[in-house]
Amino acid sequence: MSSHETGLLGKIFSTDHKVIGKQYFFTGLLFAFIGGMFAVVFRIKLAWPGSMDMSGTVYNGLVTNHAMIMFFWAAMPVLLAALGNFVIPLMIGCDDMAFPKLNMMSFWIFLVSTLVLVLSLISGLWGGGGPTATGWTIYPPLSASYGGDYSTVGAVLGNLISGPSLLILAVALEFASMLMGGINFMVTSLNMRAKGMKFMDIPIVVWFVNLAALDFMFSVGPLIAGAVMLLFDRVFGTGFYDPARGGDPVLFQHLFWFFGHPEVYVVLLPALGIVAEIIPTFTRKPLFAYRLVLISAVASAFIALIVWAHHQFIAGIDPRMATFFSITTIIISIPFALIMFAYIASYFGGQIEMKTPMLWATGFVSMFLVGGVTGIYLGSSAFDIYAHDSYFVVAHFHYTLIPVVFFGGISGIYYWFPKFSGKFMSEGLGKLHFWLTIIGLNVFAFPLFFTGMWGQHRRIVDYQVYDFMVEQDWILQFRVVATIGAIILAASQLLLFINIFKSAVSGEPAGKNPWKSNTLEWVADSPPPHGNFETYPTCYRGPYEYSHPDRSGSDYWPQNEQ
Amino acid sequence: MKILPDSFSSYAADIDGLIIEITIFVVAWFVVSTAALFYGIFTSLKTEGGKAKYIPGIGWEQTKWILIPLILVVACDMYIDIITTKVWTKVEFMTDDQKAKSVPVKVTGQQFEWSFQYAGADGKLGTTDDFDGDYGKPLILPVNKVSELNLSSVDMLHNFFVREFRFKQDVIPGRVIVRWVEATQISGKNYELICAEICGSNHGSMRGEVKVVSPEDYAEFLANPAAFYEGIADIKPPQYTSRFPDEEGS
Repeated sequence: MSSHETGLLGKIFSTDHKVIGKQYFFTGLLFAFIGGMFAVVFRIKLAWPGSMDMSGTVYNGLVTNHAMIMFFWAAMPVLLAALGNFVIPLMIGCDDMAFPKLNMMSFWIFLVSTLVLVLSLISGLWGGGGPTATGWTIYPPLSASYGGDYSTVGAVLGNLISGPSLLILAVALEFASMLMGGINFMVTSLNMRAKGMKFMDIPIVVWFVNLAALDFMFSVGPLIAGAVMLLFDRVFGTGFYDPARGGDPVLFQHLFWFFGHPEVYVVLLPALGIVAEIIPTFTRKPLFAYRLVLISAVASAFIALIVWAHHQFIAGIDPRMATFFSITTIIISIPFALIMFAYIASYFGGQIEMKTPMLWATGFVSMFLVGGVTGIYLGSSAFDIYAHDSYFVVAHFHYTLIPVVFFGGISGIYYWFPKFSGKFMSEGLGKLHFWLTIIGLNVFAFPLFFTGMWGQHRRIVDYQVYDFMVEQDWILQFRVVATIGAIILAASQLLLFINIFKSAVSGEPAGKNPWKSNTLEWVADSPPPHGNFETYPTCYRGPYEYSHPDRSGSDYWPQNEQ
Repeated sequence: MKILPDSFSSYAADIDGLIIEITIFVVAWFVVSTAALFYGIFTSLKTEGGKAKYIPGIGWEQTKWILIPLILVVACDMYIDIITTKVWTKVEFMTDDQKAKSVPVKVTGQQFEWSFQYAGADGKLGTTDDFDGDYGKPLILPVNKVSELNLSSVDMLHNFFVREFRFKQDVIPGRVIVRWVEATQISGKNYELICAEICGSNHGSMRGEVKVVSPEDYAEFLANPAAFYEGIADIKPPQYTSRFPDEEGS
């Protein structure tokens, strides 16, 4: 059905969507490890200020790059690129992406972006200022000021090879790569579906990855424009964000958050999609209200584009404008509430088997509720006057992003690993991994709601500067507790690495359809060969027809069976 | 264990009330949803020879189970929007009455300290009797009187944050942002003034203090600042935790 690439080089420079998926996946895991280590180091400093001698610049550098790496080089490649590559062609029943070479190029540009990122981290070696230390939002004027000499070619080049300039370049390259991937996902999903697969037969995860790619495309343009202007300010000394020369720093904040908020949904939607595949499989009943879930997701992807200024309520925007953004932000809870209600309703009346993927998916639903409801606080502009840039915000977004990336993403790993390796993962290790992770998350993030309410704010290397942050015992203790939680959370991820490598070598053989699932990827061999299917499957029905009354003798009804 | 700091401004109680109201909604929804999830799980665990119910969630009879809760969510959202807008409007805008009675003060952020400029006896900024506050002394505000804060920055973004006032506002180079605060309590210990927007390597040490004084003391301060400063303590000197205090973040 398709050409097989041979030789070592052929296997590395592969156009096979599964190989590219794996390349994204393992690169993402590597960077998640690096970003996680940064967090452990600065959490230790926060809990025990005397434990290490750390300057504000080093601390800010760790915080900034923890966020940058976790978001752009761990969450995006794993949840958008790797997931989309793994599942889209298989779930819609085709042999590969619509543009396999573009797909390959997307990964290699991504790899170049990681190299530029590393250059930015080590830019101190040639006097480039070292890691970016401006906070991950890279707000000017702080991020725009450097050197101050733009008179010679050498000086301009020096500005270009400084840490923040390189980081901005790395982000731009990463976005170019994700755009190529996103175009591929959409063209493939629209044009290459199996015979008979109507729009309403497409699995939710494929829909959601496409919506994420669409949101990314709509929002990334303004950010790229903003980043180019920032780079010009830094490198050539232009004044786009310099008020002394008619610029305005708040402009960058608008461009940044117009992208920055939808970006959260770019990783959230794929995770919601993964969970929508796992719940029906392990409850043996249909996903509740497929169409309503889909409509809600479309609505949320649209509303996501008009909430951005809730990050700027007190950043100097006109207070009258804030009211609009406060209302849209609180409105976005409506589609997400509907999705969560539908997921919860899917459990009722099922025959639930708490296998490892289901445990993680359930963990996602339960923990994402915490992140979701605390978003209501921060959507309220008046509350934000007090909570902006406090640890309440930190707690909230870790309660959304850790469920999304860890629980959503990892449930997908446990669910599809048998397909891509032909082997089961260890259930015992997987469950231990789950319990340590959920304990780690809560011990880490829950205390931060309280330290935030007390007024503890972000990006402070040593809280002993402020009396109120040391005069109460509980706040000191909570910082220590949070650090212990973060260490548990980080350390327990080693179990995932162990499980992946142990199972890849000596796991039980899984067969074609180990979970007795309906969607088309389970029709292919495990692992699927290059080209995926022996014969293209034909699709006869929706993806979630479990325990259908018309089907006798079996509680599932694969999409390709009449 | 006190969760929130003391509230010593005329709008602090409004924000605290908002926090309490939102908490009631949020906790209620969280508890109900989580209870439903766990009820769903534990009543639907796999049984020997059991068969799952085929419930695709189509038609009102089935979808009412999620649509009725959704209508309640919409109602709660609208209520939160209304109470939010009320408090927001109160904090962010000055009424004409407040404007007429207010005492202006200029607050300027710069790496890594705060400076203050007072209006003098005429109560107007930009006139000849304006005077600069002493470095190393707190910001002096009168109690029970509206202070008009004229916030600006000379270099980076900073943020003027006083927990007891429940007030926080970014300061931005190139513009003056006008907000207000009415302190309601003469401060025993000075309130801490926090820079809450990252502004460089020593952002973590950009600390100031606010001293709220009685109207008589404030009049005395305006009449003879030097003498008044003599009588009050210096603010805690900045403790640069950085090993290189002059090192600049790029």
